[in-house]
Amino acid sequence: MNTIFVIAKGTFGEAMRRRILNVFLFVALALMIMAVAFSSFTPRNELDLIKSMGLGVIQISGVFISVILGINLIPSEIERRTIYTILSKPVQRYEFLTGKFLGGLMTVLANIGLMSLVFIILLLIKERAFDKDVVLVLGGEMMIAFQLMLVSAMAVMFSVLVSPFVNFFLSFSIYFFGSITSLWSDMATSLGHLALLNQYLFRVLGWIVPNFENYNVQNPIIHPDTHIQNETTYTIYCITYAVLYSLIMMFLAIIQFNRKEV
Amino acid sequence: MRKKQSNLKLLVAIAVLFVPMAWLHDAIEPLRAQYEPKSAHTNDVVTKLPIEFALGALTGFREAIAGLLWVRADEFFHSGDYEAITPLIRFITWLDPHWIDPYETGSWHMDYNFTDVDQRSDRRYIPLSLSLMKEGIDNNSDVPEMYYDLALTHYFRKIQDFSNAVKYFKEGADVIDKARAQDKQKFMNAEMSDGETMAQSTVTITEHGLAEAYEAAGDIPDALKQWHKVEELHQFNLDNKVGNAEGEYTNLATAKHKIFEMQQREKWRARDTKNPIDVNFHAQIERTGPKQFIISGELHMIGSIGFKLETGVSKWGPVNGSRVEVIIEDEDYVPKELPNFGLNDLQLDPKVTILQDSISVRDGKFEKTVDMSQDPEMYSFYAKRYKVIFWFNPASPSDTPIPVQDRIGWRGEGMTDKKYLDKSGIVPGIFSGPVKNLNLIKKTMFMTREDFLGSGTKIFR
Repeated sequence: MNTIFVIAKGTFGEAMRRRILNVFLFVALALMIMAVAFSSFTPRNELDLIKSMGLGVIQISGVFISVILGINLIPSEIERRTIYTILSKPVQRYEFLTGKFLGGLMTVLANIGLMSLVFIILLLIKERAFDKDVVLVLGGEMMIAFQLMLVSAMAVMFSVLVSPFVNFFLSFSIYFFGSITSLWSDMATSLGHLALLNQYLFRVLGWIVPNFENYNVQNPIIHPDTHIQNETTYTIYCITYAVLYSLIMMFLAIIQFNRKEV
Repeated sequence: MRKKQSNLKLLVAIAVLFVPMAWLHDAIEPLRAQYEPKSAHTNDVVTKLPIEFALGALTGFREAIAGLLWVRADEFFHSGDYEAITPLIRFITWLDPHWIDPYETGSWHMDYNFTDVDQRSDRRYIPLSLSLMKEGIDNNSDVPEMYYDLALTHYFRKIQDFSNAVKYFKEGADVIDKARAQDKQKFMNAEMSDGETMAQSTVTITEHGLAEAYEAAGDIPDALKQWHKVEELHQFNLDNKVGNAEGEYTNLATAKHKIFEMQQREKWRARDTKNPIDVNFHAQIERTGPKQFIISGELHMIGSIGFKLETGVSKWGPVNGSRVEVIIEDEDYVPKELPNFGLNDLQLDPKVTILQDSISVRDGKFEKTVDMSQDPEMYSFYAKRYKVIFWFNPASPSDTPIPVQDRIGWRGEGMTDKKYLDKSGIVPGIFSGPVKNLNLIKKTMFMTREDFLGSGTKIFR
């Protein structure tokens, strides 16, 4: 366990120093600040727009950070040959992989944590009170964090299978497809005689590709009066799903990493 | 060997974890429906939404993009490009189904603001407007404001379909009752967007509205029952110090007065409507040029002058302020509601012509000049034959002043006409079918396209 923690800590420190991630962080922060100025000339409730833009920016920049980081975690160690030094020590392959994943995840969480902090400060400046809205936004950010855990696990799993270049497109494609499964499913059900076949097809696909949109709970945050039944159950299910799916991704990555000639 | 065994264990673990994961996926799906209601038409929207908006919407910016599109819709409204607004509303409500402003404002625009040069609204939009509001209710079924808006703004005021107004006010009232029963304290403290508490606002809006709608539908026993409920609710708010006390006192007084007034009127109208008055209705169209007419006629209404509610003593005489409705539409046009608000339905049928207007009666006479020649897109006169219907509806609060109703009753039982008394209960332009026990004054004429497009003066009776 200690080995995993040491590797995770090292990965976190190294990742936080990478400039490309800082670029995403700064761009995201700038966008959120822009959202505050931008909303002043819209007829819509300013706060609604700020919340939507803010959470959207955190989500999309979080996905970029997760993918960019996830696809390079293992290949960069192989490229720099540092992996040989690590694996020659009493470090199990699964410990190395788990440590790298957790380190990457910590980096992602630290980044979205920083963005969230700025976002909450902006909200507090606008609202001038720490009320229900802020708590709801924090809940939304937690769901984004679990979505990013899924994305990171997926990117790490693919990183032991394919090159970073292929992984970049693969991870984004799956993220995009997973974000619109309900949309495809809706469109497929309107195809008359093919509807039933499509329903089964999308059900099976849904078991394999996660529905990333499930972690997007912005609508009730923006409209706090919306009555959502079984909200706690929904949240628990989504979190458990993210943990189980990430575990499966990591197990698959370990199997592949065990087979890899490194 | 060890590696192989370890991999095998991991594979077994994956298989074991996959089962609860797949179960969770299936269990999440029905719960997810609340976050992204499905009654909007995804196919329609996705295939027609500009790519930059579609991509943004699919990557977590749905509500922000809905907001930006709303700004665009507002610009289109101010520039008079009405046709561009309705597709945007379709996109916006798909992107953000819990945002109720676009449903309310969009439907209001369609029902009232897309007009001809004389500010007559384009009635072809009415089915679209209703379907948008109903989609809004499907997506926000626990928001009383949606029911109230559909009932009052659309069915009561615009279409004067009082049966449907009662239906939706009642559904809204049921939602309020349910919320009150679930958590009384939360209900009492909940704030509405206008700053009033929900307990206060819902009574003055939905519960008062339902009572008025019952009365307009001619259901006086239920109207009285509803006013009693309103009275109790205001008393409850006062006892529990909910909302503004001054406002509650005024509203309580209004409810008490309404009950008294209705009970008295029920008694006196039963007496005063026994001998129906002949209203001597007459209506005609005089063509003055192609698509230009003077609509005129007579409706001799008697009403109360200085009616004393307590004693039922009144003088009777001619009263101004009644209104005669007129509709000119394709002979085979039947108003029907749309099953949904789809992009494909947004193209109005350019071949359909409908004009509806109301004309006030003064000294027993009415007259209005109508020029349909300046709006060829609204009034294409494509059909060969048209029906022209003139009618007077005693149940409509906007067409029948209270002094007139005192003489002819809530349902026109105290009026008659040698030629045009209509007991069918079929009110032109409404969707809910014949109204029971309603007497109308109604005259129907049929005209040809040539009658409307011809030049030279000609009178049609």
